[in-house]
Amino acid sequence: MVSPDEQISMPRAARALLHQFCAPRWREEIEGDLEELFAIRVREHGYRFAKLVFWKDVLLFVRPYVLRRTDDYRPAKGPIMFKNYTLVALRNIRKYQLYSFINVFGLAVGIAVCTLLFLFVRHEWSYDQFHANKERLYRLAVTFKETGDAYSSRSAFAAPVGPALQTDYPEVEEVVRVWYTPGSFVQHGDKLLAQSSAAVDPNFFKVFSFNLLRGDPSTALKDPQSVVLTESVVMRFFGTEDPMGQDLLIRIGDTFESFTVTGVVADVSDQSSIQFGLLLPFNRVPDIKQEDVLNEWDDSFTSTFVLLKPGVQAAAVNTKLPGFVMQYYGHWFEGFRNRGIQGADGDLIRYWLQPIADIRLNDSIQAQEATSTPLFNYLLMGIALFILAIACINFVNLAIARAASRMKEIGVRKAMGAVRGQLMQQFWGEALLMSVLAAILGIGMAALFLPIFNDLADKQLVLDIATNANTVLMLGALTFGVGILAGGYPALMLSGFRPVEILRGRLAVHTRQRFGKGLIVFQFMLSVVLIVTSVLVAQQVDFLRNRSVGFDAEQLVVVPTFTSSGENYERYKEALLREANVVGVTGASTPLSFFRGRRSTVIGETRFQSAVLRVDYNFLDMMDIALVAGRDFSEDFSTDATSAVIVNERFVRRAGWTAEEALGQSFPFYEDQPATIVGVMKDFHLTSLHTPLEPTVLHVNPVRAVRFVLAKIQPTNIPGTVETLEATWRTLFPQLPFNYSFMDARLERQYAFEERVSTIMHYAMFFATLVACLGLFGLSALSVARRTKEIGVRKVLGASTFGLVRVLSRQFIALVMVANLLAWPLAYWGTQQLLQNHAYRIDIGITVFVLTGVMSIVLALVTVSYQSVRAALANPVKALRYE
Amino acid sequence: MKRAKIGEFEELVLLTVVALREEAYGLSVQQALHNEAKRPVELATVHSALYRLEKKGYVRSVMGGATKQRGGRRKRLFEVTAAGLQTLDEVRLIRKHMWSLIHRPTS
Repeated sequence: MVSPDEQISMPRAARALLHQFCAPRWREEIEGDLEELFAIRVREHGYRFAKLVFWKDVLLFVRPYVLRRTDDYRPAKGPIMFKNYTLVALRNIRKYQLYSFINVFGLAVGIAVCTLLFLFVRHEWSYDQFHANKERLYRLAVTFKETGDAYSSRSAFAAPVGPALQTDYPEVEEVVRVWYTPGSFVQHGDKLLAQSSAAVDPNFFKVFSFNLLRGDPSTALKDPQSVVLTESVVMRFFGTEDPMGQDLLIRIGDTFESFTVTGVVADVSDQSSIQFGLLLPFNRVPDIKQEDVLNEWDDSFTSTFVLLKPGVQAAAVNTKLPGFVMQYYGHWFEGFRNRGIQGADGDLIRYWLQPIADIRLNDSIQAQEATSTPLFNYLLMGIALFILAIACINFVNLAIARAASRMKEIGVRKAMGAVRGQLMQQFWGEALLMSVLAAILGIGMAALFLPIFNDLADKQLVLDIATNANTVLMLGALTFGVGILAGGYPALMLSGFRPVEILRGRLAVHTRQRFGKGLIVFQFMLSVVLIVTSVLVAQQVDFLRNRSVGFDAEQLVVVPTFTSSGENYERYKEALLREANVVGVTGASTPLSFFRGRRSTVIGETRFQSAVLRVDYNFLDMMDIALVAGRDFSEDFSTDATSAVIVNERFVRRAGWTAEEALGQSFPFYEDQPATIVGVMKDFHLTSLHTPLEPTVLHVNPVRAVRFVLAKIQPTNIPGTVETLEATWRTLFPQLPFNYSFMDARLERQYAFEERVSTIMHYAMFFATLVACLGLFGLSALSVARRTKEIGVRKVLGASTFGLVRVLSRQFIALVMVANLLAWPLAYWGTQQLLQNHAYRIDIGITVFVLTGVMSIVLALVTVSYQSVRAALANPVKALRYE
Repeated sequence: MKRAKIGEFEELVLLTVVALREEAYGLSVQQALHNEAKRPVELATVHSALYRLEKKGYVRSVMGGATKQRGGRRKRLFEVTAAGLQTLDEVRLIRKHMWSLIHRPTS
């Protein structure tokens, strides 16, 4: 190689120009002559002059015979070379089996993960898309302003709102109201079961595209005593008989009424936000007295759907809605302002139309229709992309590492006349081949992993390659994309080698070390983030599970009484107490793991919300909740039934008293008279640990009118006891269904989401780390290959194996440490985000970070050691034989 | 074709090629013309002339002689052919004959 001191070569720009116009056949000699001439000129007249004149020299060569011609140099185009490329590619795979496997495996993992993700996202994003009218279908929603500047949104309205909309606005073609009752009681013959039902307007089938298999869509729900069943409900009650025209008893209010089956509808797809087992006419809502509801404007239980006329824009209707609000709810504004909420009318209460496609994905709106959690979705997407990124990065790294072994081949090819484009074709093709192999493996992995994924995601996804063109398309695009992406840089790099230097054996592996190192740092950083976050999330889940809820939840069976009258409860309690396995029975108006019903409380000048719970006298005792001051409820005091309350410590604090001061205080509570505090109890959780403790008031009025029985049973023979509970119930109340659940199970279920996130993170952590280690393995191989001479010299000079391994591993350990330092803040921030909805959080300790750091270093060492130990043990003679 | 045409410049170049024997290539011819024939011509012109000569069959070329100064690139070395020599001869004889007419009294 000519050193810059010996000779200045000709100006590059001019040379590039020559390249552009000069046909390849003359190029060598002309360039050579020009180079010599330039040297002469530099000698005679100096560099500057030579440079100027050089341009003239070059330009004068623009002559017809010199210029490129189309038939000049045609590299073999098209499929001619493919046979060779494939052969070479396969040979390479076989020759370096380990590397090839690592590459393919890594990519396969990435592809599998992305495939699963695709299935998931596609499912989530296509809820409610089966309705023919979906372009014109909306759900009515309302956004309120709360105290401060917070807004909350709901999609639950009073029953008369829908029809009023239809009457008042010509833009509205149809309005359908839906009232859900998750557990309405249906009986046929001797089968009494709770079914999910929806009471809907008769135009239901006109507006929505539910497949009515039998019956007439325009009349099916006209008759007030008609009912439409889904196929599985039919199966449950009628088996294979024809249900049309048959009678079903459904509980409305307190009695069972007879309904006639007027239609059968196909089972509701899980991609429908509107879910039901049977349909009733709107004015026959189970469990509620109709007259109350249909004309009540101050309620909010009905989902209201709006179908606009063709061509009408939702925005246009939205601008008209404030008028509607003012007309029917204008009197509410004053109440808002009294509570201290400020703002224009349109700001306090805003009605708007939500497109039907938005229902599933928008979790800011409280409604009966379930939504998915965007956070969860984004988490999954993020992880999938992470893993894919890591896999592609690996590929690039390993391809670069193997470049050394391909150099002779490249050199020969170039000497034989290969154009750079051809070489790029070849290497990109190899990458695509790997990608295809990876895709095949990846599909297999995805299929294998699908059941677990379905569990995690709470869905029933199917890998529909055979049936769905979209899926095939996606897979194809993914494979192709991965191949292109991963193969791009290596193709570029490998094709750019200079053949002369290669064939002379001169060019050492010309890789940019920094690139490979940067990639490793990135990979390990991702892995560390995932590890730390999963550990922290797992800690949080554990914490929640173990944290005391403030009452004794063990061996506690919850049985709903289904009535508001106390009679059922009393009779049941009495019967249960006679059983040996029952330790005690108490009752409450909610099942404790769930709460809905806060009331505004005013103490002097202070105003706050408190949770109100009606309980049996022995509640505190049974639930093992301690009293801080005062006394428990007692039947000895007749006034307890009408005016006594027990409050918790939070309440007392909010009111501005001490526990002692609170005793005997009165405040407006009951409709006709104030309540007196007779006792102060310790705080306990009414709902999940997601929400903080709040002021709570217990009362016993009316006596024992509780909806939920809380029975404490012996820990032995639990199934037997449950049977006894059931038998007792059936004897007493044959017309009511028996439902039971265990309190601790109920509490566990509250953390289902976190559990799922935790599991996902564990899997993600595993895969990401696996792939990162694979990458490190490859890179260490590369590094060792590059330093063979150095290792040989060290060995000859007497380095020990251990010392050698240490020297070789040093740079990687440093990389991993850097990765850790970068990862820790990121992991910290990430965990904060995930846990922000939790009122009670773990303290994020330093141990996690340190432990992960140490572990990652150890892992890196192990990975690198294979290569470094092998190098350290190799025969130094071989290494030094080169050159 | 009985009488091959060759331009004045081409003839000069051809002569130089013969004179330079083994070392006749683009640059060497140009330098020789510059120094010996006192004829400053561009490199490209010389290359062009050599190309035409080869096309006419008066020279043949081989690639060879890569040097460091050329960055490892080879030269195209030219060698006169029999036809070329013959043409040169013809031209020389014609010239000689015409010159001889000058000092001979026309009778």
